[in-house]
Amino acid sequence: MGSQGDRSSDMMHARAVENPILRLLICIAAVGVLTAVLYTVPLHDRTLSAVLAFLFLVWTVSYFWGFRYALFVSLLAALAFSWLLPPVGVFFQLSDSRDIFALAAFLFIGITTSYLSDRVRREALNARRAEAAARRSEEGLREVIETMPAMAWSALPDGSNAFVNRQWAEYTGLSAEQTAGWLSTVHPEDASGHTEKWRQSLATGQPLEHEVRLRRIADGQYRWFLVRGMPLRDEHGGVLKWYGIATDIEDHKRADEALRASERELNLIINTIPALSWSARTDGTADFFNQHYLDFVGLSAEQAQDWGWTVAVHPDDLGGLAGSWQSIMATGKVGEAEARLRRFDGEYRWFLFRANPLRDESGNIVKWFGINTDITARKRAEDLLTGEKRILEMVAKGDPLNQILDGVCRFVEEQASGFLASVLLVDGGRLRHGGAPSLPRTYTDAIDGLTFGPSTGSCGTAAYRGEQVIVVDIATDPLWENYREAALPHSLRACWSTPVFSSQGKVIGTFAMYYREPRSPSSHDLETIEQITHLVGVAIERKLIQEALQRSESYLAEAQRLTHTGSWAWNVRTGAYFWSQEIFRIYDCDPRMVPTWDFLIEKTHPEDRAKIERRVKIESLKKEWKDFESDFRIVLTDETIKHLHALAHPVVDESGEITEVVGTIMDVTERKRAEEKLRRSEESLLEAQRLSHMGSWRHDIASGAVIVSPEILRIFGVQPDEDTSSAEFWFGRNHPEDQQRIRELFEKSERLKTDYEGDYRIVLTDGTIKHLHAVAHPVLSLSGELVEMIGTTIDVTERKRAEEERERLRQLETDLAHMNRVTMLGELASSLAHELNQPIAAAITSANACSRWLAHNPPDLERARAAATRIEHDGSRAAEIIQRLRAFYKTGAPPERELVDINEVAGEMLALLRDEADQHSISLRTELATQLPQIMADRVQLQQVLLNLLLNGMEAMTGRAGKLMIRSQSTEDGLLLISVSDTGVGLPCEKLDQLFRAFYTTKPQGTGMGLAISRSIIEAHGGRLWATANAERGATFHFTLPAELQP
Amino acid sequence: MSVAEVPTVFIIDDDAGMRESIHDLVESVSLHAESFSTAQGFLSGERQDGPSCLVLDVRLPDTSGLDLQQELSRAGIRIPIIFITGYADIPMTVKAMKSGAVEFLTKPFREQDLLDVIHRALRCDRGIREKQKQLAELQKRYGTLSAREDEVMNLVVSGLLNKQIAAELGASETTVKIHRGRVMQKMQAKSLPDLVRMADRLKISPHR
Repeated sequence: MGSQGDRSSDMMHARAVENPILRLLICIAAVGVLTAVLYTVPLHDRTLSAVLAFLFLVWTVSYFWGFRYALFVSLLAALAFSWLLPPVGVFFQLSDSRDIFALAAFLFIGITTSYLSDRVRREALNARRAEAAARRSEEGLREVIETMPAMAWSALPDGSNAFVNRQWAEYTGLSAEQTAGWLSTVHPEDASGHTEKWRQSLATGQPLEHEVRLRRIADGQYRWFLVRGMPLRDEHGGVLKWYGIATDIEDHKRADEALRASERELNLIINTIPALSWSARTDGTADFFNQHYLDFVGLSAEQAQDWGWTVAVHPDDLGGLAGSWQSIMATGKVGEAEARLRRFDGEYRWFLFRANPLRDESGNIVKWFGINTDITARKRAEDLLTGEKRILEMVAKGDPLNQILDGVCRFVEEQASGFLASVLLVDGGRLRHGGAPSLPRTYTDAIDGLTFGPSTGSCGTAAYRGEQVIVVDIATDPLWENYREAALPHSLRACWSTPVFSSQGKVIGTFAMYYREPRSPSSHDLETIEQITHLVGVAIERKLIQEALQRSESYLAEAQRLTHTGSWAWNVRTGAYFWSQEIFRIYDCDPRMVPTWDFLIEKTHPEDRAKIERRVKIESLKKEWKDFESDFRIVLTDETIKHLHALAHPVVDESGEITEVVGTIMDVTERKRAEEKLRRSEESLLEAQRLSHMGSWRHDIASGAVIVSPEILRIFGVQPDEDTSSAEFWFGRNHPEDQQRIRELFEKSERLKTDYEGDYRIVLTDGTIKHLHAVAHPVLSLSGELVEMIGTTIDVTERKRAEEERERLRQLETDLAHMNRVTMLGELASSLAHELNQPIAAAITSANACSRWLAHNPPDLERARAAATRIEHDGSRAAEIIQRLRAFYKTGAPPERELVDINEVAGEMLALLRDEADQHSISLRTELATQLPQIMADRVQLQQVLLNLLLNGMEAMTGRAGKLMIRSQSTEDGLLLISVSDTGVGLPCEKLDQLFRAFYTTKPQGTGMGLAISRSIIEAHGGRLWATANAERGATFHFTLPAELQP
Repeated sequence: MSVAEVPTVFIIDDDAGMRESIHDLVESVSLHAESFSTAQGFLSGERQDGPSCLVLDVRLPDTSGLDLQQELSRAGIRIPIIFITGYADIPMTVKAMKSGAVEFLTKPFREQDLLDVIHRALRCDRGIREKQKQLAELQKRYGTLSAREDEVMNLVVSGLLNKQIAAELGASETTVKIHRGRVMQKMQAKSLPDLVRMADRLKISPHR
């Protein structure tokens, strides 16, 4: 570092000391040194020498460093000089006034001279600087002229050349001195023209500008140059000199020519290419259209100029196109826009407008070029794709088919105008309305449900034939003969129908286009039809498949619901569960919940949890999974227990890895319950057999074996070690008296394959006799062969015994009843006599009357005959009474049911009692309901009951007058109610329950059987007999009889 | 003689055979017969005002013959009743006879017995009817008397003299005489005993 600093300070010394402090130090040092020298060196006139020396120093400093330093040195010198003036050894002392004067003079001279010296120095410096600058400037200029790539020259006002630069010299090969002969280098063809031009400029003083060819000395070739010259004028306008340059424009010239040629070529090319091309100015106005363009839009170049071409743009697209064009121009980049252009014939077609900017070297846009490409086909395909997408979205969304097909029709109608689209569905042999948003409703309704055939309009025929049917004019086409009236009023004139096929090739619908004028399709129409038909087919089929899927899903869900079977899936990788609705139902949980393994385990019956978990663990450890089944129970939130049967089946991917486990869960609660019930019912059957002493058995025909239920063994008292398999064994147990009969009966049943029924006795080993009742029926094979006899045998010993007992009692009862009747009749003897007396008396009276009529003169035969008829009638009446009494007297007759009118029976009994009642001053009253149904009953028994009750009533009123009332009525619950009430002594309240007991009587001569017998009779008829006490006096006996006894 | 004078025999018997045979028997002796099965039928039916009798069965479905007899008596209908019955006990017979029955026949009866009784009853009825007719005539006459005349007649039949009557009534003897003469005239009495008999039949109680 230090060395470097030293070096730099040396350098500074070497050149000039610039630092002011250093300069001051040097000044001080110089004064010091000079003073020391003057002091030490013995001089003659030290004062003068000092003055001169110091002045010299001042001048020097002033010259080099200027006035300020000189002034500083002057002051220092004055100080030193004043010190030098006194004799040596004395410190500064101005004793002499001359000294002061000297010192002042010194200072004045010093300062003045230094100032002058400085002025001189500065002027010299400036003069030197100006000279150097002038020299440098000239050199630079020359250098510029010499080095500039143009050839420069100057000429005198007379035209003679004064100077040419090196380039000129080098190019022409002429030296500066030979410039006068420069004209020789000009191309001979240009020389005269050039000379003329130059002369003119000289004459007029106008600047020169002319293109000439100059020969290059190097190769002798001529190159084009632009020669330019300007006059240099004096203040009076006189030309002083001409200056000029010649620029080589050979390359320019050539490029220009090439450009022109290429432009011609381009024009040719542009007009021949099939695209529509154009160019536009930077302001956006068009300046060029190729012929193709003009031909296409049918405009002339003039019409299309500027903005004229926009008339061909579709009005709907014009705004968009203009906007795009503006933004393209704003960005200055290649841009595109789409719009429809009207062709000369009026048809619009889609074009892609593509604009390209043309820029100059500086990057400024000078022009726009463009090409329009016909993208109609692409556009249509795009539209179709969009439409298809839209339609498929509708399908996927599950929109109704009609809505989808309406959408298809609307979409097609958007594509072209002038027609109405219609889609019909094929449903069996009929056409169904699919979609036709633009067709009149009345027309579509008329078509809906049409049965199609070989000649049924366009659509029907198309569906029938399975091929496209083009009807150009509905008014004349024979296919429309029957449907014209439907179509023509709506001014539908043409109809092209195309069948829509499913992927299986089945006709599933038709797509039709209707026109309002007769028309045949263009190739473009056919193309559209094909595309749309395909789309319609996709829509319908997708929809049909979707519906079929939905249906099948709902069937599945229904099947699951019906069978209580749910399906599940478990994704092994994600651990996600899928449950069908039925599983949620089985688990009785919210179908929105997400099923988890923990949930399953939680729901599982605590006793089954471990089993399931162990099972799953074992299965998951296995390398190969097989289907597995499991039965377990679950407990629902309401504590219901369900039995489930689960099945699992692994799904394996290509690599053999299990990806998914699918399975089912079946609710087998009902089945379990049924099984349990069956088991219980079997148990109870055995129990029932044991309780009812009924055993069942089978006789197998093929083997001859007899298989019996345990109860049979018990009935027959069979020992466990006995062989019971043969029929002989069982027949052997029969009572000897029954053996032959039963065997024959049984064998006959087997032979004739008929039901068997037999009553017989068996004798047990201990001699006990049992009564059995056996029933059997044959089991036949499909071919009608007897396979076995199945039967039951009941031990009816007890029942037999009971029956016998019952029969005995019945007999006893009958006897008692008879006795009762006889007793009653005995009581009624007088009454009966009266009853008989009545017809007899009447007969006698009539006989008397008859005699009298006969005795008249003449005899009144008419009246006599009438009297005789009455006699006969009364006689019969008497006989009837006797008859009735006889029936009443009859002993032990079994009850005979017949249709009985209860009112009639009551009448008969009252008739019997009438005299008896009269005798006891008892009035008999009846309140018999009319229209009572007849009942099925034993007449005599009912008579007996009524008689019993009536006699009881009369007896209760013995010794006092009273009323005996008999009522009959039908009750609301379908019973007949008969009541007999008296005004007698009434009932002994405390003994009400004993009334109906046998042998209970309150009467001295009573048997005590009447009411008991009456009650058993009524109960045998399904009725009830009871007694109540009357509110006022006496008692009432009621009995009911079911009216259903009527057959 | 009007139709009403033809004697009518009413028959009430619930037994059709008996009723018809009696009816026939009555007609065979040229009597008019009307028969009913119930007492109610008889009571509600319209009866000619003329000699009649009633053949009544003791035993009837609605009320007994004896009851009907009581009822008729209470209603002031006087008609001779002949009871017929299947049997007859003494108390019943006594009761019936006491209540004014003509006869009590037991079935079967001899037809002559019945016819005799019927004739007797009709005769009796005819007599009664005659008496009633006369009484009605007397009552009609008696009705025409003024109050003073009634008083006078009352005192006359009590056996008082004119003088006594005048004193009793506070009138002059002459006035009594005039009244008395008018009474005799109005009552069409030929003599004092005749008037007394009339008063007796009219059941005018003699003045104290």
